[in-house]
Amino acid sequence: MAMDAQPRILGTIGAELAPVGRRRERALIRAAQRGEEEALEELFRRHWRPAHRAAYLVVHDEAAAEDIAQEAFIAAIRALDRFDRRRPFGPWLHRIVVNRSIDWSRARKARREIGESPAFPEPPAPEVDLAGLADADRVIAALRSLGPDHRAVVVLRYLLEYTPGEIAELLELPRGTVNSRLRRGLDALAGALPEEAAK
Amino acid sequence: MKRRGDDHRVRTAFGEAVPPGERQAEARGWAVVREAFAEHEPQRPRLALRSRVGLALAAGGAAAALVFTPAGAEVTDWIADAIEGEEDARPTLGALPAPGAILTESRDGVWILRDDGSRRLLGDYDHATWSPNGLFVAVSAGRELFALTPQGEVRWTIRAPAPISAIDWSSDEGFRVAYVADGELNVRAGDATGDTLFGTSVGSAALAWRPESDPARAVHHLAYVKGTRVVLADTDSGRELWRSAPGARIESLQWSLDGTRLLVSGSGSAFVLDWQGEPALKAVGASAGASLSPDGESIAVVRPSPKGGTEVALVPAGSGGAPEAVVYRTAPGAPAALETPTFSPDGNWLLVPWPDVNQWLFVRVADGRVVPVANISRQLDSDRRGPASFPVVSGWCC
Repeated sequence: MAMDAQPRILGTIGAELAPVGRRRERALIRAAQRGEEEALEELFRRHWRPAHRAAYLVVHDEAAAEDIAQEAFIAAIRALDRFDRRRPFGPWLHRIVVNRSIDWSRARKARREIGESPAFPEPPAPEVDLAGLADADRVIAALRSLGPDHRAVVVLRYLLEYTPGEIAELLELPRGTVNSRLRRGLDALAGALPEEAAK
Repeated sequence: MKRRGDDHRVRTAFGEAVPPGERQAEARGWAVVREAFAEHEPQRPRLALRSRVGLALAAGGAAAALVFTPAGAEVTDWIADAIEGEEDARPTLGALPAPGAILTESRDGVWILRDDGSRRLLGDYDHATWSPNGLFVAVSAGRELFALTPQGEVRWTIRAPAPISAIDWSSDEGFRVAYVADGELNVRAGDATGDTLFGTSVGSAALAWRPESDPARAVHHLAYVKGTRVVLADTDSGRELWRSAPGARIESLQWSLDGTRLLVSGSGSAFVLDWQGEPALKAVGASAGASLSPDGESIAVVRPSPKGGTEVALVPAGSGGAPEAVVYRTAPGAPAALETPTFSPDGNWLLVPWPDVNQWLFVRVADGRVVPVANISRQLDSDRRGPASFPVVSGWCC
């Protein structure tokens, strides 16, 4: 399936939008298809930050994350006329964002491995001293230690709130693969968090 | 090992993980998306364009006949006149008609415009040039020379003794960078670790590394201008390989991708040398600069039209080849200042800036089809206050 194709998810999508929100979103898509800029802006405001944050957490590069989010929205606009309004917009966009983020991360790794640019060696990842960091910073640092495929699954689960079944469908992976990646990912992230004091 | 509450803590941590500059990124994202959307909107009927295309197609048949007709048909002309800029210009830039990315300098600084319609402001720099495969961009700001990724990340910087007026990056992906500062040519190692490897005073800011088709041959041959002569030198050995006869003032140098031909332009004309410095094409009129096609087979020139107005013509870069073809012409009396055209990386399109009417014209080489875009200066002006300058095209890369 082409990367930007609309996913086949038919069920409800995690905690993304309540039914009223989904009705509103369908109306916005219909209006955007008619060319109403205000509708597009509302869709953009609803979805930009989650998309941008998801890209950032997968690629760990603020400029690349911004590019990926922009490109995903542009791809969505290009396909707007063909979009099936009965289906939710978010998973469609998130699928583009996450797949492009994985591609970007793999490409960066490949560039390093084959030495495509010997004049500019990539600096090694810094050793991070987790002590004294806030939970968010610890988790981000630990996330970097995972491969992009694992990062993508973890981000879809814990940032975008998809169920493992939905993630499997979004990324076209076996459900078991998603579960194992989630388990490994959560172990790595939880290991970076300090023990909570007993209450 | 999973512990109670880990899910919740990870979820909370992700919720607090805000990318740096999130609000600014959102504002830039909306500007780009909004323009892409404006471009996507159903277009009103464009009778003027249809009639123009119809004219172009009708004339195109005649043009094709001319192209394949031997002697006698020296100039192919299948265009309609544009009077005061193109009437049916797209209001926003959006997607490019050919693959690749355009590097351009506006009042804001240096921008990258990608073929999918996305764009990035790299920062407030003066001059910019692509590395050969588009992996990096060299930019300058005063005396500082920076190597950037296309995302704007600074990889290295060096400080020149005087403000930098030109930059060029060698074709072997960044092993040599040449720049001109205060009339002095300097060559540095592309990772900024080396001292100056080569230096001499030069007659203009025109520089061009000769592409080396064999990557195993780590040679660095640089064409530059000494007085009114073109010089080709091996910058590693310091040996001068050849110099051309003196002529008029030279403003730009450009090699074909295979390094076999060098376009030399300035003072209202352009000519072509082969890689050994021998003339391949005598001077042709080029009032506003010229551009060599990626395959080195033709030159796009801007020149006064014998029918009045200004025209963009394709001229064969050596003996043989297709006859001349006029691919675009303004009407007599139209604002005349078309600027130097730039070929797309695949050689199928030309970008022709037209500052007086604030338009960029994308002209298809094969048939003269024009995709005009209006409001160029404002689209590359994030401040949107006061008069915006018309951007300069620095390159259209792979």
